[in-house]
Amino acid sequence: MANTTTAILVVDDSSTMRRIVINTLARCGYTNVTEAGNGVEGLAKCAEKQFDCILTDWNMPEMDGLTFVINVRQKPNYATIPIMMVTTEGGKQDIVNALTKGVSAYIIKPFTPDIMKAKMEALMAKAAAAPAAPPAAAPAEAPGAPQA
Amino acid sequence: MSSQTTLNGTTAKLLAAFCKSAEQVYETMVFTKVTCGLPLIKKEHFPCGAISGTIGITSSLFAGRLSLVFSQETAEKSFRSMMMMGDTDPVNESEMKDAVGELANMVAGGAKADLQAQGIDYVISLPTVVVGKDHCLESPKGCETMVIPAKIGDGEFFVEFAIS
Repeated sequence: MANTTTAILVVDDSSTMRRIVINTLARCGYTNVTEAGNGVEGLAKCAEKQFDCILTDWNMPEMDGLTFVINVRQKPNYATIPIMMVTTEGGKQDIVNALTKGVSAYIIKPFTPDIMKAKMEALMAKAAAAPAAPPAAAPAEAPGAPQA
Repeated sequence: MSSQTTLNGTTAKLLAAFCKSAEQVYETMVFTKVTCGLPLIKKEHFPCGAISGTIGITSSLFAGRLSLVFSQETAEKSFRSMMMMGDTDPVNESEMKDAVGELANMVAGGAKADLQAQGIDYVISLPTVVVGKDHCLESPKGCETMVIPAKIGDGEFFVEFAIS
């Protein structure tokens, strides 16, 4: 069953594709969705808010999807977050490459709503069973801070 | 007038894969049945369209350009269907251009997996979109360009592939 509070980030340079993915996610019950137009924007959004799942395209200007995944995985609070690549790059080697770089799952365009639903359910079920990621580090107190 | 021709092996495989991919993309993402016809040699001012999505295709064996050429009406119908809009909902031109580029991207990418299994691999560029009433894409110099009509209900669009 889809969780309407699951916070999802959709990263794609195509506004059409973002809308299609968001519409499809809504049909699957996921309505808490944020958009980003490329990997750079995606990283900025990840710094502003904690997402429970990320869907990203591969071929994007400024920062491609794979580079975005490598960068976001370096953040402790995103080390184990489910990340799904939504892309036309469906070759075996491409998929293997993406999985070794930190992508959790893969969906190849074109896809039907049923395929997206099945992929999301599998992805979120696997994430629910995995140990939680560490929270983002809080800023350290300055030494010698005055006592109350 | 365009005419049919005998295709070499690689070109025939590419065209077959693009046709199959176009039909699949339309069925899954545009929720519309498309039937591709036989390939024709591109000649003179054919096909012409109002909006075209073009994507570069490069491999060690060839360089090519795949384009989807639409009339305004067919592009709008396809866009409304993709976005699950009503038949008379207004269309945002900028978003529609983006959708045409994305369709070209998906057709080229969708064919890739099929072709890799046949030993043909390639890299695709980011798509570009050409807009202009009754425009015709010129064949790049030194390229053979084939055109495949793709029927959608009462309308059609064209899959155009230039290869050198």
